[in-house]
Formats: sequence, structure tokens, C-alpha cells
Amino acid sequence: MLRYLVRRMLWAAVLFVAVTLVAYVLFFLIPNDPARLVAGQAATNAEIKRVEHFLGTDRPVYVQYAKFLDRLVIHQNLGYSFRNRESVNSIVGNAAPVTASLVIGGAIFWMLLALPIGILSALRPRSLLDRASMTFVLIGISAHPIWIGLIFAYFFGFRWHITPITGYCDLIHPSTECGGPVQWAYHMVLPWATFALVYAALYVRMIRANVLDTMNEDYVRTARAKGAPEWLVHRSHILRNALIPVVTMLGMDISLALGGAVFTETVFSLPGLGKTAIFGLTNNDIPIVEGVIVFATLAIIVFNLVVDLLYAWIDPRIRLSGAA
Amino acid sequence: MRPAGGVPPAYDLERSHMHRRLWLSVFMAALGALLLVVAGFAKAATSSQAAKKGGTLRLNMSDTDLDFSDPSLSYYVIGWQVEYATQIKLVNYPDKAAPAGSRLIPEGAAAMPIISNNGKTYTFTIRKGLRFSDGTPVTAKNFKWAFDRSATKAQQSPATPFMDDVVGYTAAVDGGKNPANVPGAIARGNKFILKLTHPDGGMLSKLAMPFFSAISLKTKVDPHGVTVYPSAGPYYIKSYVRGRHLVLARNKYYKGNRPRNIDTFDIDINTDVDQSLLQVKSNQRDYDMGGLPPSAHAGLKQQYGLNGNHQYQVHPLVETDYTALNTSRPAFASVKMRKAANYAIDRPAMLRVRGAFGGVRTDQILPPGMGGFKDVKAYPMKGANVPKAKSLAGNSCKNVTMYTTTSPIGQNLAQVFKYNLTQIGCNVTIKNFVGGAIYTAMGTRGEPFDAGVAGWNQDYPDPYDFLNILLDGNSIHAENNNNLSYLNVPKVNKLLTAANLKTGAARYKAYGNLDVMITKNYAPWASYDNRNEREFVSKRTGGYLFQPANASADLNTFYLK
Repeated sequence: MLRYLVRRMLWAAVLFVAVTLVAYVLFFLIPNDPARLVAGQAATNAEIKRVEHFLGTDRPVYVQYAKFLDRLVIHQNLGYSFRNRESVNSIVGNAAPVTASLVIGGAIFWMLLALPIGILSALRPRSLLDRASMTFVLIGISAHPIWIGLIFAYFFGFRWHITPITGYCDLIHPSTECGGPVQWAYHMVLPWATFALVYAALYVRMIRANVLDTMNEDYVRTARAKGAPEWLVHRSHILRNALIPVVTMLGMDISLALGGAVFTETVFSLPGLGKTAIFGLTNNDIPIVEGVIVFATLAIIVFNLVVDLLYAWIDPRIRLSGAA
Repeated sequence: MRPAGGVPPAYDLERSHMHRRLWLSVFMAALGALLLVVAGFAKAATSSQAAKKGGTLRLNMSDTDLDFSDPSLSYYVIGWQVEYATQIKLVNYPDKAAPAGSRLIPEGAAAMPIISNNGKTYTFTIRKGLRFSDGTPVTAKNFKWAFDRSATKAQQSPATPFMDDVVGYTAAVDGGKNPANVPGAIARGNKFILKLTHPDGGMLSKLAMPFFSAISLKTKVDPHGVTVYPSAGPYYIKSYVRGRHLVLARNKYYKGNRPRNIDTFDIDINTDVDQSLLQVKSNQRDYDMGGLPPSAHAGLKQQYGLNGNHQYQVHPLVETDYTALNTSRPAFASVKMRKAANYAIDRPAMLRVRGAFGGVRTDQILPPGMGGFKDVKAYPMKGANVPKAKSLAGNSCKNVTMYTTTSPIGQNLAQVFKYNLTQIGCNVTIKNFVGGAIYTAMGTRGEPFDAGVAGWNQDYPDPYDFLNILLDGNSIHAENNNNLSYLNVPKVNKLLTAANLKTGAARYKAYGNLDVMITKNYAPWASYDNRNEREFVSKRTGGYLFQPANASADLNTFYLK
């Protein structure tokens, strides 16, 4: 197990370097000059050169990348924004809880929707419920989160005044007058619903298919033949096995979304990582974009590791094969 | 003493005549005073009814944020909109609509400066009774500190290009001393003295930039920029969380005469422009400083009306959009070809790209709101004049490489331009750039482009900021050029330098003539529009003024119903 962990960690390091390097190089392929942005439209050539030196963009790309890695690994410092010179650690640190609020709340939302619908659809295939849930799946998969978000905001926020149209309130330590658990949840209801809808649709389909597959397994038939009650067959034999791939997928989706749920954050003006990354991109602010990439890469690596370990815990065959 | 009865008849007659004049004058003066009083009452009635005091105005700042709230660093229109409400400058633009709003008046100074005969020394007397939001008085030292702070190398202020005329300013920046001491900026008692290396007719306009506002001596040099600090304007920044939220509150120590109706501005940052519009429509927010969705304008006008007391407002900006014609490459090296391009482009079609009320057509360099502007209509404004363009171009137009941006507007502009130039036999190839990358590319001398979409918004209301910055051939370098047409005509360069030495009406006249001369004789640009700022306010907003010099809504003048 330790060997496995070490191997995974080494791969994670390689992946981390590769991702950040590619992002860096991509930025340098774009003919852009952040110094010009910082120096202002009326700046002379000499002033722009001085700003380039101040920002460090006058050095070769490999030197800049090496400095970035040095800062990150030795000092745990992601650098400073080109645009407003704010610490990227603080930018990412402020944005990450917002994205986490969205993703974790959204994940709870979508699992609460997907589990019962998926299981009931599988238990009663081709029933009215099954057909209705499949229609829901089709809509959820087809509709873009931006469209869903706009429609939700228009009807629930603008027309019916049930929820706020947009905005965010901190759960704890509010940075604005709006804050606390109630306001936080009130402002997050629509983003959660929007974010959850697409994933819920995917998960309903997957849970339904997995449950249907597992229901036809020999061990399920054997359990029934041995006289096990139906609820026990469902809980211990069907669901436990059917949900193994769901856990894997959940871990991957959450880790990916932590990198920035761009569409939902944009529609609902949530100051999370996705919106921060977009802002960095549009302003050619490479330290911010790199900061978000570093965070997202770490999130993916950590979550994948956690999922692998959970997988081993859920499925004894994996533990046994590991021990052998 | 005059002898009694010794007044000659002629004098008496004259006196009697004078008497009638005097009485007439007294009567007229009384009438005038009465009218003034009536007008005053009328105005007071309007303002007391309209400009209600107090309340919180809830704003959004969609898809953007302040670059900085630090006056030494802030350089975006939206940042200056906030600085206009929070800072006090030696001279400033009044809270008035155009054209009065573009004329400088003393603010931190008690009067306009005394300028020495050689135009190289400006002496300001600082107004008494001004205070920062922490209660400390504003003195000449605070203006001196604005100069020293911005010239400190560690501060890396974008103010530096504007003050290279000040004695020792550039040397202070290069010297790297922290904090810098600019020898040409002197605080002596209640006098602030500015010494220049050579006369600069645009200096007062430059001093009205927020970089040179009074800065508290407690506000130290900070390369990352201070966020919350004492300021001396009608408002101050109470809190600012970057990317999230900004709060402006009244400066209780402010004793100046600028308006300040609202108590608090509560500003949500980086909101979504579409959702923000819904919020303003439903009165959840009052105004979006970040703008409006491009497709919303026609509908807003139809639903809410235009200008006057209506919620949808359109204001002209002091800005010009143009296609830079690269004079350093064969395609547009000849004046004839550049003129042909000016006759060939369909200005109404190019303007339509910006949507309803996007701006007005133009064919000149200076925008109409700029001092010295003379509308000469040098090229067709109602559509292309293809026969004339063809006659000028002959068969000489071959391949034209056009640079544009990937934005929908950039794409559409390029397509219109391509179609127009194809009509006169050009073969146009379009190359796309993301965002500001186009300026980096076009600003590099030798870059293989023949034409490129560009625009310029004033830094300060002075024609120097257009003509010298954008068309002076002496400022062309290897890279980072603002002269995107690479026009380098010694005669023009000389006239531009000479115009900058003039002041007042003579200055505007000289620049106005230069604008016409360059447009007609050299045609380095195919200008097509001067943009409008389009704004929409909530129903609960009573009104506000658009500040023309800042090209943005004047926060001080907002009031609630």
C-alpha cells in the first residue's frame, strides 16, 4: 500500500509540473504584454520596459517558470496579480471557499436527486416514473448550465421574488454586510440547483444502469434463493455494488468542479475560482490563472487519491487483490 | 469738494442724463436680482424635490473591478469614477454636465494657479478648511506627497508618463529612492509650487488626474496599493474587498461645495451583466457601473424611454474609434490610398455594429467633446462613396492585412471594413487577437499589418492626449507604440510640439486646426465613431449627472426619490 501511495505521489508531482508548465507556455504563445496593461495606455516605451522589469516579464519564459516553482515550493507563495498586485494566495484563498460552497452543496443536491430517482427507475423499468425520470435526464443533459441559471434567476428571482437573482454571502466571517448561514444558503439555493441539475441527470442515468446491471448478477439471484428479504438484497447486494462506480465518479467530478464551476459562478456572480480564473484570463493575469490551476491540480490529485482509498474500503476485492 | 451751485449746465444735463441711466440701471439690477431670487427659489425647489439627501445607493460593477483603489495606481475609468467621488485635487472638473463639466476649476487650490511668465512655474495657494476623512487637515504637503509617492520607483505608478516635464520627476523615478523627493514639487507654507523643465499647456489637465490628489501623509508607499485610506473628497472608501465588495461613505469632515446626496454607496463587484440588469429592473440594485448587456439597449429605450427623467440614459464619450492605416507599409503608404479607404468605409454600417445608441459617426481624430474640435466632414458620413474611393485608389490596392479582436464587435467591424475595401479592389485578410493583445502586436514597429481596429478614450480632456500621444512621429519606438498608423511627418511633429506650448483658446485653436489638417491632408486613420456611454438606473433613483471629463456617471450627484 505504501509503495502504491509513493508511486501515486510521484505521478502527482509529474502531473503538477506538466500542467503548470503547459499553462505557462500557452500564455507566452499569446502575443501579449502585461506590462503594457500595467503601465497604462499613455506609457512610453521606457516606462513599459521598467514595468516589465518590475513584473519580471522581461526574463526568458524558463526563468520565469523556475522562479514560479521556486516561490511555490520553497515559500508556498503563488506570487502577485499583474493587474492589481494582490497576493494570489489571498485571491485563491478567498475564492476557494465560495467554489467549495457551490460544489459541495451542489453535490449533496444532485445526490439527493439522483439516488432515489435512479434507484426507483431501475427497480421499476419502463414505468411512468422511469419514463419521467428519463425525460428529466434528457433535459438536464441537453440544457446548458448558463441557460438553466438564467431561466432560474429570471423566474425564481426576477418574476416571483422567491430567491435573490444573484450574489453571494459568506457563510462565516462575512466580508460584507450580507453573511451568516441563513443568508448564505438563501443566496446559494439557485446556484446549487443549477449546478446540480446537469450532474443529477448524468448520475440518474448511471445509477439506473448500474442498479439494473447488478440486479441480474448471480450473487443477487443467490441471495434471493437463500431467502434474504428484498430490502436486504437491495441494500447489501445491489446498492453496495452498484454504487462503487458512483463513488469514483463523484470524487472525480467534485475535484474537477473545485477547479472552478465557471458557468454557474458566472451566472450567479459567485466570486469563486471559476470566475476568478476567467477574470485572470481576460486580463492576461498569468499569476492568477496559474494560482487557480495549481489549486485545481492539487484538488484533483488529492480527491483522486481519496477516492482510490475509499474504493478499496468499499470493495473488499480491491483490498484483497492489493494484499495478494 | 464740489462747489454748491457751481455746476455748469452741460454737466447738469449730463448729470440728469446720468440720473436716468442710474435709475434705469438700479431698476434693471433690481429686476435682475428679483429674477435671480425667483430662479434661486425655483432651483431650490427643484433640487429639494429632486436631490433628496441620504439613503444607500446599491450598485453593481459587472465583469470588472477597480484595478486599484490607491490613487497613485488607479488608472481605469471605473477607478477614476470612484476617485472622483473620494479625492480632492488642486484643480478639478465640476460636478456639471457638458460643457461646463469639462472646464477646470480650483478645488484643493483656493484659486487657479499663478503661472510665471515663462510658463514654467505654477504656484497654487491651498484652500483653507479642507480635511481628510480622518479629520487631519489638507495642506500643501499632501499634494507634494502625491508627487513624491507616485515618483517612488517601488510604487510603480502609471502616473510617471504624465509628469516628465516636472523638474527632477523622471530622475526621482530612476533614482529609486524610497520615498522619492521630486525637487520640482515644492510645499512651502500654504503654497504648492510646481516647477517645469519647459512650458506645458496641458499641465493643469494632468493635475486633475487622480494620481495627483491630496494624499494623507499616513498613506505610505505600498507597491501593492493601499485599499482603505483617508481621503479628502466628499466621500471616502469605507471598505474594499477586492473582487467582492466596495463601500463608499460620506466624509464627515468635507466642507467643500461639491454635491454629496447619498449617504453610502454599496457596490457589488464582478457581477454578471445580464443578471445585474434584472436586478436594476427589479430595483434590487440601482445602477451598474460595469455597463449593460450589448443587446439590451433597444429594448431598454422602448420600455423605459430615453434620457430626460427616464431610467435609460445615453451620454457621449470623449472617445474616437478608428481603423489605423499603417503608413509604414506599402498598402497605405500613399496619402491617396488612405483617403480612398476613408471614402470607401461605410461609417453607418460600422456604427451599427455597436448596437442601438452606440455612438455617433465621425471622420476626424478629435472627438466632438474635445476642446478645439471643428466638425469639417472631410469624408462621407452617410455611407461609402465608392466611385470617389475607386478614383483615388485606381488599381493600386492589392493585399491588405487587417488586425482585429476576437470580440463580436471586433469581428463585425473587420467584416464591414473588408467588404468596403473589397469594393475598391483590395484583397483583405483578417487576423484576430484576443483582447489587448492587438495593441501589443500593432504597437510593435515592423509588425506586418496594414490596418487595425483601435479606439482611444481621453486620459484627460486635452487634445494633446489624442494628437501628440497618437500621431507624433517623434515618439515612435521599436515597440509599445501608441502611434499605430506610424505617421511620421516632420511638419506635423513640429506643429504638434508647438501646439503643446500654447495655452487657453490659442491652444485649442491650434489643435483644432491640426486635427483638420491631419485628417484632410494625411488621413492616417479611417475614423468611424465616437462612442456613447449607455446607462440604466433603477426606478428608485431620482437622478444623477454624467461627468463628461471622467466619461462616467458622477456618483456625487446621485440621489434617491
